[in-house]
Amino acid sequence: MKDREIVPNDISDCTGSAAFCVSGHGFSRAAIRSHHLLKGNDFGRSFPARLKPCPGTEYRRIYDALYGFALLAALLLAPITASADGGVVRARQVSGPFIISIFTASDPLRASAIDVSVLVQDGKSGEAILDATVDLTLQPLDSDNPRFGARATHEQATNKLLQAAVLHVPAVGRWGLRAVARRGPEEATVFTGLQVAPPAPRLAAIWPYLLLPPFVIAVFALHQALRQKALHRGRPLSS
Amino acid sequence: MPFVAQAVLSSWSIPPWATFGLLLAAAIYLRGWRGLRALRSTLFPSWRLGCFLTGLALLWSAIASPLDAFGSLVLTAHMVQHLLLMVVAPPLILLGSPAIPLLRGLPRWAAREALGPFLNWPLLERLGQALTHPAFCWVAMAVAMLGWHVPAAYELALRSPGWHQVEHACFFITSLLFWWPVIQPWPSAPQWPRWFIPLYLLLGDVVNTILSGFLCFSNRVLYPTYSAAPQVSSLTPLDDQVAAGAIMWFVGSLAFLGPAVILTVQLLSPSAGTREPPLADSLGFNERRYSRTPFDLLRAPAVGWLLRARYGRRALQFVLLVLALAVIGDGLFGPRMSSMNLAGALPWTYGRALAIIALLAAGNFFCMACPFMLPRELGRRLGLATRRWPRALRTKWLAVGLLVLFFWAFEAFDLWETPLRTASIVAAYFAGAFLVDTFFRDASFCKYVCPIGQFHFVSSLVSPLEVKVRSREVCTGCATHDCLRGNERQRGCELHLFLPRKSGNMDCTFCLDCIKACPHDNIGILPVAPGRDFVRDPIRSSLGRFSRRPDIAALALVLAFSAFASAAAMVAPVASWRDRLAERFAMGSALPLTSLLFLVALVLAPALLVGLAVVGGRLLGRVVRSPALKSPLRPREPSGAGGSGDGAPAREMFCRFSLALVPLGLAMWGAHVLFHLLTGWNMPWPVLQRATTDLGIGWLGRPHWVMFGPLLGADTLLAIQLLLLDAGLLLSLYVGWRVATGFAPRVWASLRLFGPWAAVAAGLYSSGIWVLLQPMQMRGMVQ
Repeated sequence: MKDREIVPNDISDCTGSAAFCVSGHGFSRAAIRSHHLLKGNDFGRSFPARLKPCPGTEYRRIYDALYGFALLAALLLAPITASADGGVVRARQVSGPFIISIFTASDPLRASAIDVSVLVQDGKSGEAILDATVDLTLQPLDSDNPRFGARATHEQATNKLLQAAVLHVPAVGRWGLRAVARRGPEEATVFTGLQVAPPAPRLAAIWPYLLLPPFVIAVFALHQALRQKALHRGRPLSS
Repeated sequence: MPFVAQAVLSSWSIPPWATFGLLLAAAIYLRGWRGLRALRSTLFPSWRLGCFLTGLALLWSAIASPLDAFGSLVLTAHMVQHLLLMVVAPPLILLGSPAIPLLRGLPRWAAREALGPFLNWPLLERLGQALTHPAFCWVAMAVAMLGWHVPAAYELALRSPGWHQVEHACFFITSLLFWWPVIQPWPSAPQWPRWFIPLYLLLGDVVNTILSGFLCFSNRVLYPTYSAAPQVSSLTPLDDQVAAGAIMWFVGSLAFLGPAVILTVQLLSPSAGTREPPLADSLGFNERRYSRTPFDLLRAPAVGWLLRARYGRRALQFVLLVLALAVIGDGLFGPRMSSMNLAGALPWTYGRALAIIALLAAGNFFCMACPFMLPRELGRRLGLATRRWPRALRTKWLAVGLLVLFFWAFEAFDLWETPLRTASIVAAYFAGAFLVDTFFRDASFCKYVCPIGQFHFVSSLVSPLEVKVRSREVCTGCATHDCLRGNERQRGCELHLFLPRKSGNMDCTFCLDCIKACPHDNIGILPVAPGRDFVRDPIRSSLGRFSRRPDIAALALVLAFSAFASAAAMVAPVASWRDRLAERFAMGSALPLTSLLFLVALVLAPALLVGLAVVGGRLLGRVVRSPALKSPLRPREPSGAGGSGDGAPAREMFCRFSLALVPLGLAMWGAHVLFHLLTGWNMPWPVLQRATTDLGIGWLGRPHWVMFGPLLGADTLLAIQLLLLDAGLLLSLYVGWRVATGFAPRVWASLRLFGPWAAVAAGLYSSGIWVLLQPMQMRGMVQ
């Protein structure tokens, strides 16, 4: 559908004569300049170059809307602005020559992939020990599920002082998590219990992607409604 | 450097979406800034660009640097991160006056058509005014700052990654608001007098002082997480809290009081009223000084040179020819195991994935480098190509049939895991191209036979690049039409596409013959809006109108439905269901059931669904009878490119709406092949090493059949697949909507017409989501 040619009632004045604009029609000079700068982006097509009476603050309103739009967009895109570490300390014990701290996600832990991080520190100085090997073992405390384990590494951790591994917990219930740290002949073990809840529904992980199309469709419907309204009112479609 | 310090400094984590978003914002700003600077260098000096980019870089550093990794262990690190988000990045970003550069940096259609109606929306305008009112800005920042430092809220953010993101977002957004009246980014106008701003900043500093004083002088650790956390620095938790408070006090006060002093000095300065440049300056520019040159791939560095080079295309074809011969050789004589054979790894894991990615990202580059063109050329030199392709076969129906046959054979005969059959098909393809073009002229194989080519032709209607004329005026003055007819140096388009009347990529092999033949250098590879050619229905050179080509519509339906059928056939539930049925009915093999599945998926289901959509749309929209609606009928082409034409508008609806499903189908193909590419990304190298070792060539080394993990994590891959499918659905719905409004301009009539087609698209989308959530069968694609 071809756009209706709209006869504007505001900034069109400015394309002809600056003096005409400033002489009492309420534009800020910045607004007039920005209009001209935007012309190159084809915004000017909405504003034929002929002089018409200037109603006042129409142009400012467009920029107010732009700011509102930008802030709304920032609000919607807010989740991109942070990436949290967010673990909680499950156990922190002095064991042998080490202080061992175990971190996992906060409760409830779900029966799926669990990210476990371990910090090994020197028992006396408290300095982080980076060359220890850390083996993690998960064993069920109240069922016959088999025990399994994985080696934690610095590569898998975001915080490189820690060593991390992803453990796939297969079942709901109480599990015991054992971390064994070794450096040369030195060895220490820390044990902690975990209560594992049923896995989160798959939908919980993918709902943002499923909501995206309805959201975009709703925005598009609004766009079309505003466009129709603008066409009927004879306001310019763009600024 | 000590190991611990090294570990701390290497604790970066790159958040992919945030990085992408910030890079995109920087690119859009830079594009807009360049345009504006060409017009008014005084208004957009380099320091504005520097401020904006530095602000974005610091924002990214706050969320990606070790500050984030150590935020839950050390309060001081967390505080520095918050200060970056609150008092450093936001003012720098606003100093770039981002509104106009970002708007101008957007593509024209996005700024004008997509944003235009929203920018004129009174509600949004009032919202903008309210949000940037200094009173609101100050209160928002104070509430966010004080609220999130309440121990319960702070602890919640430390425990939950989701709430931590919300906390950071609150800080950043309210700080943008707070700094808005202070910086008053151009071209916004102040809502309160400027002399009020120093007071505003002083009040801001009061909040900062209260909070930081509380942190400094508290005699207990306010946030229990830091008491429980292991001590990784020399500071005790309480010392850490005091240090964090002191940093907040000092940096915050500097950030609030410094601008207050500067503003006060400016306001008291006698030249305060004349800071605005004279208005005459703003009108002195000449718009022609800066005119955007549209992107043209042919003029891009390196790639453009390769494409323009006389033997550039031939070189690409030879590369693929060598690979095709290797596939044939290894398939015939190499190991039977697909994952160890070039005939398994190259075409099915890499070949089709790269071809589809190229289609989505650029254009039909597979046809440009197609190795099957070379035997064609050979056959043509025999001088036997004197006949024209039979008139009855000058449609896409033969290719539609071959494409269906190919998809069926792929599943029925497990082509992906039988290198011998793959090699046979590639060899047969060479033979077919050779035979057809030896006896028939004018690229008959490409235009009417080649099923791969037809798949790419239809898919490339979604591509963002198109071979098209740069200036129509130049073509108007051209009498020789070398792009079509050729000249003594260069042949013209073999597929009879006359460039001034060519629209879209259908039937375009990207051979670039037209480009080399054009004496005016008036043809380029230019950007187009993806899917634009589904919406428009002009008379296209050599094709006529799409609305009169049911064969092309059928091709589109095969492409769309085969995407879902092919992916569904891979997933474990469908495979086990098929095996159970075969067992229940005592069938010796699953072949009959596979055949039935594909008959239903590629023929019966499209026919039924599309038939229902046509009938439903016509009944609901009353396209024919309602006098209020614009007649969908258009003047017929005398040549009758696609049939008798008595079936319109049902036939026209079928043709137009079927094409609207292509974006969704291509997105599903993209999601499908991306899985294979990312899970089997490591296959080709050891396979190549094995093949060369078998040939006695040892310099590539011996293969190491090491099990690598997928290139991306399962969650990230699923997210990309779902986003692709979302984009495909949205583009399909948009195209369908635009087609519907072409039939019936009134909104409700369009909706009724469009409804059944939207339901078909939604059904396909749902099935695609289900397929993507199922466990895949590892059918030899991964080692």
